[in-house]
Order: sequence, then C-alpha cells, then structure tokens
Amino acid sequence: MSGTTTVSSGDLNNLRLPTPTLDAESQSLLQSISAQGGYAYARMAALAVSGDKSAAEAARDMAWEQLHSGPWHSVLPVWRDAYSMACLHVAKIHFAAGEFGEALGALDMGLIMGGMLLRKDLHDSVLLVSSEARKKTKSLEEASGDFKGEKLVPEVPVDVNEVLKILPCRSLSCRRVEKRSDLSLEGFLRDYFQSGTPVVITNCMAHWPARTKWNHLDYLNTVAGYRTVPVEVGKNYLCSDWKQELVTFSQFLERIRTNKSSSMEPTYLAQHSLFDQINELKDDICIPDYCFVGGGEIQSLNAWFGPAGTVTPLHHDPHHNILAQVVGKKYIRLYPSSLQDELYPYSETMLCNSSQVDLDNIDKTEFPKATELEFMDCILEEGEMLYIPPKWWHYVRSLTMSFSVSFWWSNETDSSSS
Amino acid sequence: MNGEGAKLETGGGPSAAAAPKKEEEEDEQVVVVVAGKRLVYMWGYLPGASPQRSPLMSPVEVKIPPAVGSSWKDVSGGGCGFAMATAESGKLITWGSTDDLGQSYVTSGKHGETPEPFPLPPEVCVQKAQAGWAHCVAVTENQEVYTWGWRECIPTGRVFGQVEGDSCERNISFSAEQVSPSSQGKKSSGGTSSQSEARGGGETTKKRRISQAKQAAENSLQSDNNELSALPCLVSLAPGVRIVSVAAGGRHTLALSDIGQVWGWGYGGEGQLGLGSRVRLVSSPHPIPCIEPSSYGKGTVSGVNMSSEVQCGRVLGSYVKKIACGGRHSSVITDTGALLTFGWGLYGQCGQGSTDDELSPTCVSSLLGIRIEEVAAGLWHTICASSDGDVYSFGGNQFGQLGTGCDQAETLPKLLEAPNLEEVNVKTISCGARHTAVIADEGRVFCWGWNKYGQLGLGDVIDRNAPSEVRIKDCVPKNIACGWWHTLLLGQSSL
Repeated sequence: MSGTTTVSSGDLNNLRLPTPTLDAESQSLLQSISAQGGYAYARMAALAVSGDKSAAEAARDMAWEQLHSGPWHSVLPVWRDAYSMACLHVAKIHFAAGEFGEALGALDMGLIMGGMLLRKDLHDSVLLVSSEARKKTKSLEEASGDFKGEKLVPEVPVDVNEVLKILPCRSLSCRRVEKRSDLSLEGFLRDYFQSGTPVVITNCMAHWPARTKWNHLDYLNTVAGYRTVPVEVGKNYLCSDWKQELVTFSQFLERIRTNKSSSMEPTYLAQHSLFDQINELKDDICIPDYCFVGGGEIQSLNAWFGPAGTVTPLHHDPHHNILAQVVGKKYIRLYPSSLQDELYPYSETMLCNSSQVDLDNIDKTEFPKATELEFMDCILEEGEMLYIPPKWWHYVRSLTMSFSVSFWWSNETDSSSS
Repeated sequence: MNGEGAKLETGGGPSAAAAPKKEEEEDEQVVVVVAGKRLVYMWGYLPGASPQRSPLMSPVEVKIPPAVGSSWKDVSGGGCGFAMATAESGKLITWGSTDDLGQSYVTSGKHGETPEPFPLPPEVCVQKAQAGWAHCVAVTENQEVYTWGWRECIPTGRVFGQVEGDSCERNISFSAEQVSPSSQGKKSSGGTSSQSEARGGGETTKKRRISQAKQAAENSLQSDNNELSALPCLVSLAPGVRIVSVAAGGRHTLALSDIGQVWGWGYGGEGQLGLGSRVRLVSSPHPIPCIEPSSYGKGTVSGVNMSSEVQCGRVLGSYVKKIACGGRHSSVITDTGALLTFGWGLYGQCGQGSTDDELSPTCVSSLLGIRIEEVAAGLWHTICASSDGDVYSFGGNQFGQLGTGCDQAETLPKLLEAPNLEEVNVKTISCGARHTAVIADEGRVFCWGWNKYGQLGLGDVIDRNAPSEVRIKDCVPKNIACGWWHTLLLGQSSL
C-alpha cells in the first residue's frame, strides 16, 4: 500500500494495544526462556516493554533464530511463545506510532510462526489494528483506491477452442461432470453423495456477497492488503524449483495482476486458511448446506487465489470436498477413486496421494496405463460448485484469474483431520 | 567506545609495546615491522555498547580497562549479546548489554556494558576462550578448562563461587546413573534419540553415590531462581589430559588435548558430539573418536586398495589439530589436513553432499587432496581454508553467509572464487551465527553474510553475499573472532 499509514498526532496517545494474556504470562514465560539459555532474549524483552524498538526487533530475531536452529521437531514450545511475545512487542510499538501496516505484519508473523500461549492476544490485536487502519484509509481513499476500480476478471465467455490448446490431451472429450441447478439436499445425498459421484451444482451462490465484491481489486486490497499470506511460486508443488514465500496481500495482488505472460511462473495463494486469518472475507461467503449432508464435520475452508495458468497436479484427498468458484474459471479433471496403480502414485509418505503422471505432458513410456483411462471433466464457471467425493483424483488448472473456496468435510464415522 | 571509526589514542594505561621499528626497504616495497600496541575493535550488535544501544555498523575501538594493568592479548568472540577478549595478564575481559534492570534472570555471567575482567578463580590465567550461544569456555595456562553459562552446557564438576550455604569449593561428582539432565520440560528429539548419558572416559574424580536427600538439596540449589546460569566450574577430564583449545557451539562444547584427542560434552541430539548416536545430553566430557576407518563416510579414496587402517593413517592422519563448533554441528581438522564434520546436516553444513545428519566424524571427501588448515562454523554453515589460502564454504546460505554470490545452499564445499579473494591468501576464519569474517595474510579483512546489526563492519546494514573488505586505519589485523551477532578484531597499531 502507499505510504498513507501515518496518523495525525492528536490520535497517537490512544493507540495502545491491550495484551492481557501477555501481561499475565510475561514473567513466567521469561523465566522459562532464561532457563533455556535465552538470557539475551530476556534482556531485550525487558527493554522492549519500555518501547525500545530495536530491542523488540532484536528479541524477535533471536526467537526466530531459535525456531530455526534445529530440526523442526526439536523446537521447544517456549521459543514459539517467545516469538509471539516479541511480535506483540514489535506490533505495540508500531501501532503506537500509527504504523498500522508494520503492526499487522508483526502480528501476522506471530500468528504464522508463534506458539499457542499468546494467540488470543495476537488475534484480538489484529482486529483492533485492522479496524483502526480501515478507519483511516476509508477517509483518505473513498473515491479511488490503489487499483482504481480494476476488476479481477472481465466477464467473457469461454472460447472452447482456444482453451483446448492449453489443456491436457483429450480434455472435454470424455464424460462431462453433470451440472445440476438448484439441487436439493435430498437429491444431492441420494444421487451423488451416497454413490460417490462428482456433480457441479449451479445457481447456489447468488447470495454470497463474495460474488459481487471479490471481483474488485480495491475491495480485496482494503480488506486484506496489509495482511501477510503464504504463497507458492513455481509451476506446481511437485517441481524442484517450487518454493513458498510470505508476502503481503497487497504485494500478492500486484503480482497476479501484472502476471499477464505465462512465461513467468505463477504466484499462487493456495490451500491457505485465509478465512481464519481475515474475518471480513469469511463474512462474504457461506458454507454450503451440502457440506452438512452425511452428519460429518467441516474440516477446513481454504482459499485458492491466483492468476491464469496455476496448476494443482493430479492427487486425491481423504475428505469430501466442495470447490466453489467465486471469480474466474477453472478446468478440472477427475479420475475415479477406484484407480490406484494406473495413476502411479508416489511412494514417499508425504506424496503418496499425488500421481507421478503430469497430465500436461504425459510420459507414455513411463506411465503407459495412464494414457487411455476414462475420466470426467468440466469447466467450472463463476457461481458454480463442484462436489469431489473422497479419494477421487483431481487435476485443476485456472483458465483466468481465479478465486475459489474449498470446503472439506468428513463422514460421521471418520476421525477428525488426519 | 563512543563515535565511529578507528582511532588510536595515546596514553591510558601502560603498554608493553616497544617503539615502532622499520626494516630496510626491500626493492620497491617498504616492509614495516611494527612492535606496536595491540588494539581491539568491535562492530555489530552488543546492545549495551553504545549509548543509544544501536548496532555498531563500523569498527569501533574497545579500550582495555586501565585497572587490568596489561595490554590485550587476543580476541575470543563471544556469544549472543556479549563479547570476550583476553588480556596479557591472563584475565578474561567481557562486555555486553547491561543487567540494568537488576533482573535476576538475565545473567550469563553478569556481563557489564563496559569491558571488565570476568570473575574467575584468582589463580586462573586464561590462554584462550570461546563462547557458544549462551555459554563460555576458557583454557588456562595450566591447560585446564573452565566453563560457565547456560546449565545445559555445563558438565557437573567442581564448581567455583558462592553457592548458598557453602563457601568452599565443592567436589560434586555424580556417577552416571545419578545425574539428572538439568533441563526441565525438554522435548526429546524424535527418531533414534535416547536420553542416555555417556560416562566420562577414565575419570578419577570421586564417584560417590550421593544420598537421596543430598541429591534433592543439590538439585534445588541448582534450580535456585537467583542463578539461572551456572557459575564457572572446572571441567574434569581424564587424569593427565591437557587441553590446548576449545570450541563452543549452540549447546555443545569440544576440547582438544595436546596429543590431538577431542573431548565433547553437552547436547548431541543431531550427532554434534560425534559419538555415533543421537544423545540428548552428555553431562560429562567424553572422548570423541575422530580418526577411525568409519570416518570415511560415503566416499572411498579412489583407486586405493589397502586395508582400511592403512588407508586411514595415510589419508586421515593420526591426530586432530583443530576443532570448531557451529550451531548444531562440529568440525575437526587432522594433521594431514583432512576435514571431518559431524552433527546437524539439514542445510548441507556437513559438506557430505546430502542433508542427512552425521552422527560420527565423517571425512569431507571432496576436499581430500587439499590440505585444510582452518575451519569455522556458524548456525547453518561451515567455512574452511586450505594451506594455499583458498576458502571453501558449504551449508545454508539464506543470508549470503557462504559468500558465493547468491543465496543457494551448498551441500558440498564450494571454492570461493570472488575476484577480491583471488590474489589473497586467507589465513584466519571466524563465523558468527549468520556471517563470516576472514583475515588474509596481507592483513586484509573481509566479511560477508547477515548484516542487519552491522556485523560486517561495512558502515551499513545491507547483507552481503560475497566477500567485502573492511578497512581499518592505522592497524594491522592479526586475529578476528565473531560473536553471535558481532565481530571482534585484534590488530597491531601501525603508528
């Protein structure tokens, strides 16, 4: 965001960040940290309390170091809490100076990497700082925003011939996923859920505020611009040069908006619990009633936001999944859950739900069984939801800039998330 | 210590230096041999060091306290938030941030803001000292070892200093079964870790069985809230063992004896104690076998067809000459110039071409044939130098600490081919947590890596991923030693 974060001096005195848990736990936490050798950290934390900004930064850097100084399983919870504590101190100092973006940055890092002890303080602080930040930007940027009313995706119908050129071979030539309008819960249960059959449900998202609001970059920037999110960079998560980064939502919007050419590797905000992080966005969506069919529990809500050309390679998940397409269009191919070695899954534990077959470039000598398999596919349009039964293989490619939301839920008899 | 830049100030304390002398001119070069005053410079983050508590981005001279009554001897480095250097008189001088809030839990030996002799037993004459993250080790003139700081790193041994209710030195010896790990609530590392403790090899310190009551009393003394860090204690090794150098890592310590035997103690969960398995805590010093047929690791010496013992002696030598500790890994150099590594390997810091931990000293076979003379290690990286003055680096590189010109990690040693190192022979290396400092024999200083706190001494806070020269006026650099986030330089005045 542009540098419009300073506040008039009259307001500065009121910019205090209440942190009740931190105040209560601080003494004992510092004792524990010192017992773990964190003397220098404790010194810095004591100075941070009195508003010393560099001491607060130093404490954060020290805690960060401890989070990365050994194998992940050896990191002590006390250092995660130390990291949260340092983030809160840094955030307080920035907030007091009216630096809302920086304060939110620190709070988000605390949420992403910190421990459990101070989570409530972090969440509550985020709400407070966000609302202060919004008060200010509203007054300054009512008329035009940074993105000047730009829309994410123009309203353009799909040109199937053009699209077939970039899709995997045989796309849209096998079975199409059935599209049902106004599908009743009973109908969903009977015709698809119980038999484990995919279906696209149309005309069921009209009441989502997201359908009208999310197509506007300014809206997204106002609501989430200052927040830090994890993004993926690279062709797809199976590639060796794939990596994850933390960027502000604002920076992410800038990147995907200018990513016109396909030569640059896409930046994809993928499988992120954005709606836990940013409450306002959660208010823009509704959990589909279909997710409560079967008496199970919602396991997670994930955001999938990126430019055209993002690819999630062929894999399957243990849960029921509804993929709701809010903005833009996606191509999705599905293979039945009954297929196993025909799709050559990886043997590594971490990747055993992923297929080795690259649908965009099928190696027929390596993977002969995969070449002539039957599949179902569809182009998922705005306002449509795709139901993917458990263990069904799916491949997803965005055809335009795209913002989707996935809802995972379990069966009644399943244990909660693996 | 106010103000920036190097200044020579005359006066202030007796100096053992003689007047500078000049040798005759040789050809076109003027070779000046100076028996000048020893100076210490620092740069980086020592929060108490400047009035504003801001990082020192350029070298600043550190004056030895006049009361010490001697000149500087050498720089030792320091840990997180404190610096250490030795004086000719045998005193260890430390400084760092103040304990100005009087909080009892902030001590790691009570380092003050300004340099002060560190309280060690009066008869102790420190030859060398090293610090890890939160603990310190010192070698005395008598080739004994003292250690203090974070209790995790302190072996149970003779304790110097006031302990509640006991004003004399106490000899606390525990037989191995009785020693309880001093950490509370520690998670054990996963996989094959065990909570076993190694017995000190051949210790003759009394192995008394201690009654439950006394054990409980001593445990409660150790966890006394007023001293969360351990006071200096003498480390008991086997009888007749004389230590010539020590190295301190994140939470482990190595000591090298005069016959080239390595001892280690502290945390060994990633194999950094080289004992062949993951040991959470070795609470008394244990000998580390470095030169064994098993030290070969993955590679074999090409084309040689001999028995492994003979191969061993030929290639790996017969004793260890140098030791170094990183965050959670260790490295040793043998008399034949072979480099061995062990410990955490996730970032390639063991230089074995993989990201596996090494649980025993393993030869860095890609460097065989090159005579390695110096080695140093940071949190995630290792740097070494050959007898030819070439520098090789490997490990994590997120902050440019490898000096290779990019941020890519290296799992195998990479020769540094930076233009400014080409004509230069690097003789001394030291590593901080995420930065590297070297001196070339022409007396030039180069630093690279993380610089957020000015630890590169270049006048700014921009990281460097390639060697960058630090210029200091009127001083010939002699030794360099890094603390966690700072750098100390020993120089000889050329005025």
